[in-house]
Amino acid sequence: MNDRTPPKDYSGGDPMGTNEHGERRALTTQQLSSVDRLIWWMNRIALGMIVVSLAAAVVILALRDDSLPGRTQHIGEALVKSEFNLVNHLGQRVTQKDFSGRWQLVFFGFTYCPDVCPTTLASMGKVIDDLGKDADKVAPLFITVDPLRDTPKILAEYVTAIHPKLIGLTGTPDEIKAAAKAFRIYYSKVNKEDAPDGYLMDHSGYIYLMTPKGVYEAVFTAKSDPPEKIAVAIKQRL
Amino acid sequence: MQLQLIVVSLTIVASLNLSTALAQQERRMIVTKPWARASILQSRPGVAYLIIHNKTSSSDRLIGVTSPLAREINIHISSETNGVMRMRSVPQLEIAAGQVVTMQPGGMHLMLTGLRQPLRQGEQLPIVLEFETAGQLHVNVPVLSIAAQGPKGE
Repeated sequence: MNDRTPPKDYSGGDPMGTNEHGERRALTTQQLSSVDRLIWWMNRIALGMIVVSLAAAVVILALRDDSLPGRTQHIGEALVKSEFNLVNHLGQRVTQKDFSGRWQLVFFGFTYCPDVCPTTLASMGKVIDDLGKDADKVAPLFITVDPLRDTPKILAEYVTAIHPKLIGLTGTPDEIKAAAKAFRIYYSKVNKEDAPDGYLMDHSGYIYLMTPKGVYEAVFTAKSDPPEKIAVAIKQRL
Repeated sequence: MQLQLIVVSLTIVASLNLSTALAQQERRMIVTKPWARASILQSRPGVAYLIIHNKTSSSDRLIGVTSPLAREINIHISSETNGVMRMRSVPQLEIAAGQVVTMQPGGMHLMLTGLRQPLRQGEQLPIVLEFETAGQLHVNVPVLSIAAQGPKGE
C-alpha cells in the first residue's frame, strides 16, 4: 500500500517466471522487477476496490436514511416533483395544478396487484381517516403504472371500493411515463405465464408526501410505516 | 367386582386411544390464522394469507392450492429491492419438518385469479391445500375487510 509509484526499472517480461518453453526457471532481476510491478498493480486494484466499496456503503447508508419516515433531508429530493397531465377516475383531465394548495399523498401501482397495492392503498385510506377534520387538506392519489388495463372506469370501481376519498389517475402510456419520471418512480412490465394477461408490473413501492406546492416532503412505505405514524407525520406539517 | 374390572380396563383402553389420537393430531400439517381480503373488483386477483406449521417429522411440499371460487391459485412472494416491489411465483413450497411458513401482506401470499364470485367480508372462502406427503387439507378462510391487515389481535 505504501508503494504508490510503479517500479522505474520495469521492462516488461513474463510475470509467470517461465521461459519460452513454458518451463519454470530461477527469477532474474528483470523478472523480479516485473513481479514488483505486478504486486504494485495488485495493490492499486485492492486500494481501488476498497474505495469503491466505501463509496457504495456510503450511498447505501444514505439511501437507507432516506427511507426513514418524515425525513426531509433526502438525496435527490429536489428531483422528485409532482408534475402530471392525467385523467382521474371520473374521466376528467387533471394536472398537479388541480391539487395545488393541498398536500398530496402519492402511490404508483396497478389494480392487478393482489398484495402490495391493496395493502398500501388501504393504509393510505386509514391515514385519511386518521386525519379527521384535516382530511381535505390532503389529496390521496393512486397513479396506475398499467394504463392499458386500468381505465378511468376500472379505477372508479377500484378506488371507491377502497376509500371514498381516494383519487385514481390514469392516462396514455406516454403520460404515465412522464408522471413516473417527474416522481422518479420506477416501473417495468414483466412477462409471467401464470399472471392475468401474461404479465405483471414491477414498481416502486413508495408513498410520497408532496407539499401544497407539489414539492417533495417525505417518503413512506406501507411495510415500514403504519398509517397512524404517517398520519402523525402529516399532522405535524399542516 | 368383575364389572369394576371391566370398567377400569375399558377406561384404560379409552385413555390409551385418546392419547394416541392426540399424538397423531399433533404430528400433522397445521394451518392457522387464515384470512382473505374482500375482493376489490371481481375481475382483479384476490388474495389470501395463512400460516402453515409442518408438525410432521418429515419435510413436505405444498404442490397446489385450489378453490371452487377461483380459476387458479398461485403461491407468490412480494419482495422489495431498493424500493422496487416485485412478485415471483413459488411453484412448490418446501416446508421442512418443524418449519413454520408465514404468509402475510407484503410477503408470501396466495394469489387468486379468475374469481367466480366476489369475496365478501364475513363470508368464507373454501380452499384445498395439497401437500406431497400429507395430502389434502381443507381450510375455510374467513374473508375480512378490504382494509384488513390480518385477523383481529394481530
